Amino acid sequence: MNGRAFVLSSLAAALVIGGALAVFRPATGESEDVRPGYWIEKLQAPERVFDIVIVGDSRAYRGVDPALLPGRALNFGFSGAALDPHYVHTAVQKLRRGGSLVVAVSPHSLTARAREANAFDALQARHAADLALTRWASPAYAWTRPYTMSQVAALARGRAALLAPASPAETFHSGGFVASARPSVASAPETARVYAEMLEAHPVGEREIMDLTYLLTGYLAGGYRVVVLRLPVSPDVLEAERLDSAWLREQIVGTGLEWFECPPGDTYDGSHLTADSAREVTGALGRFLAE
Amino acid sequence: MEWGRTMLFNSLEFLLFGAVFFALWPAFRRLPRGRFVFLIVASFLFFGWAKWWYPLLLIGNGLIDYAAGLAIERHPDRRKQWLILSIVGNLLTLGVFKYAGFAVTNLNHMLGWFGAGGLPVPDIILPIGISFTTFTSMSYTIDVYRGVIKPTRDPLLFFAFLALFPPLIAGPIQRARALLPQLETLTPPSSDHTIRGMRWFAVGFFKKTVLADNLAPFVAAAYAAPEPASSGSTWWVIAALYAFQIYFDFSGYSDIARGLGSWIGLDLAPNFEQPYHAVGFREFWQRWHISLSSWFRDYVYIPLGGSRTHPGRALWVTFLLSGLWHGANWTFVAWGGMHAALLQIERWTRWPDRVWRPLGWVLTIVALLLSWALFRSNSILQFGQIAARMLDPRTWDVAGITAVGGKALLWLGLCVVFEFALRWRGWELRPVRRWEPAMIGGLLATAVYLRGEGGAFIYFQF
Repeated sequence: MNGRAFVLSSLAAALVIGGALAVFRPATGESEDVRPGYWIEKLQAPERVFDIVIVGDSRAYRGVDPALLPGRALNFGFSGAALDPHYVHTAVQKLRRGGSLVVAVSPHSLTARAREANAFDALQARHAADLALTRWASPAYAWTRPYTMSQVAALARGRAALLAPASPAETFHSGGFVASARPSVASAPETARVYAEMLEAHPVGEREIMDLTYLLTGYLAGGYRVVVLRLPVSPDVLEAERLDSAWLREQIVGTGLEWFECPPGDTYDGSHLTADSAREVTGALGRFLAE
Repeated sequence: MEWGRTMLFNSLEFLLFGAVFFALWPAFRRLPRGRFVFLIVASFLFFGWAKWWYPLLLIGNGLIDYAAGLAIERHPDRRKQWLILSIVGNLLTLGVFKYAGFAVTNLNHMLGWFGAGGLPVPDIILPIGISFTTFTSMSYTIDVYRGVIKPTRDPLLFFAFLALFPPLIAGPIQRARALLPQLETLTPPSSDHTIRGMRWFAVGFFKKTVLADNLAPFVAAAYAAPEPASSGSTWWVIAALYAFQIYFDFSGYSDIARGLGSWIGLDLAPNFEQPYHAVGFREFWQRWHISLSSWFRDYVYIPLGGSRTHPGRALWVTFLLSGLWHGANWTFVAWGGMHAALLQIERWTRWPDRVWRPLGWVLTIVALLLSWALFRSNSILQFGQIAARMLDPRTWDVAGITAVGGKALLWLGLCVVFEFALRWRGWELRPVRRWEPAMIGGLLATAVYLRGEGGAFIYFQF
């Protein structure tokens, strides 16, 4: 066999075997890792067209469904996003003049840690060709999703069940909302511990809230409506975060910004709302915004 | 505007880049000058995909070395000054980008002892692969100075050598004496080249994405825990996982680089020869990261006197510098020191020749695992805690091994099997068998569907 034939037949074999593995790939839920294009679509959403833009971290994009809000809305939440001037300014660019900016505050989004390890900045810093390539190739990731060990074991046992469509654990909506179908939990001690440790090292206090209100009142003065809210978390996570919601509300309202009091909701990990709770919270927010 | 991400071999960007490059290469290869221009442009695109200014750094350093090479030949009376200029230029680049932050942090610690205020720590982006490109460039000028090679007058040939993309950011570190003549007389890759390239490419891909990347999360979780696991057995298993992770990660990159080189028509220097089969540390360093260890041997160890005049001094200096080359952290320096100590003991006692070979192998592996635990530690303090557990037999228990998890042990077992399968089969040079393309195709498909979460190659940071 000569070199060219060897390479071509090897690549052909890779395509056949890879194709078979793609067909038999598990039909379970998607995750962020296999949808890199989703975040780029969100980042590249058109400017000056939305009536409402929601900003915040993963709690925001899992907690507010823009499809249920009045007018044209975009959930501009990103994992680990810091509520810093650069991020908020990018979000405001998406709003039409006089639109509503909904700010979902979480203690982590105000920390120095979030500002330093800013995933939003890292995404935005990628050059246009890189972003375009990733966005364009995004569907290929869904077809080349890796198998887990248990899925390999099931496949080796000839489990045709892998082919059966399963309910996705997460659904990525076009408006920027990620709905989780995971069951709710009453408490999440591990999440609470992680938050407690993180906020011990990076505390959030008056200074951080002042920075945020200073930033947001600028947009208020610029003719935008600014609504601040804090999405529900489990009681143990709330306690671990040591940020008093009543005090926070006082600070926000005291500067002329609007505060939206979220109704209670269930989380699937102590920190992020289940899809059902997210829709309930969004419904209430929609009524508040329509007032 | 900032630039993008590093173009990893295991990325879609590289897949497209490689497809375009190898589609056009046969046409450009025939052009005497055009092939160098094509190689340089492609290599700069590959390197500059992460940050647009990375190629400028390469051009800056390269111009100094290109000019120094010519000047050494033209002005023999001033050859030493030109060599010094080249070495200082290279080391200055490395020092500023890689070690400035480390140096200022340590200086601030010392100033703190005397109650003085600290200096601002420079926040400088470390260009990927800077240690590799700097060493490749330096070896050219030193070899010209020594008269081992003639300097090239052709800047295109020089930059095609320096910027050649397959080994650019994680080696193997190339020598001008081996690569320049190959680039000058490039011929179409032979059938053997093409087949070997495919084998290296597929095996390297499998090593990286399936083996190394599936081991990575277990190791990362163990080292990220706020309190180290209490069982010494756990840490021996974690050290073994890391030993295979770093080996398959790095040798996987080297295999892919050599495979791509083969398709271009070049024989790139080998980097690994079954290092975990070594008995003793002299043998280990003849099998591990061969291109770096031979670089340090030729340009540091031997000039310092080698084994003849000042063997101890030469050994310690070489390995401490080798440790520092790996990163700006005291753990790497200590790791280099640990290997120097192990080699010093070996030189005094000649124990690998005196003990039963299987026992010698076990002793080598045990010491290597301890050294990898140090290499991977975030600080000397963390290594102290881990080593205290690893070396305390009272903390060795079966529960500690199972605590790592069945999946981790399964991956460890697969790594051992894969490593021995490669050795027994002599896979690189054997004749082609009819079913081999199916096996290669299987490796490539598996590399996609069983890929782990490791991401970037470990050696990119060095």
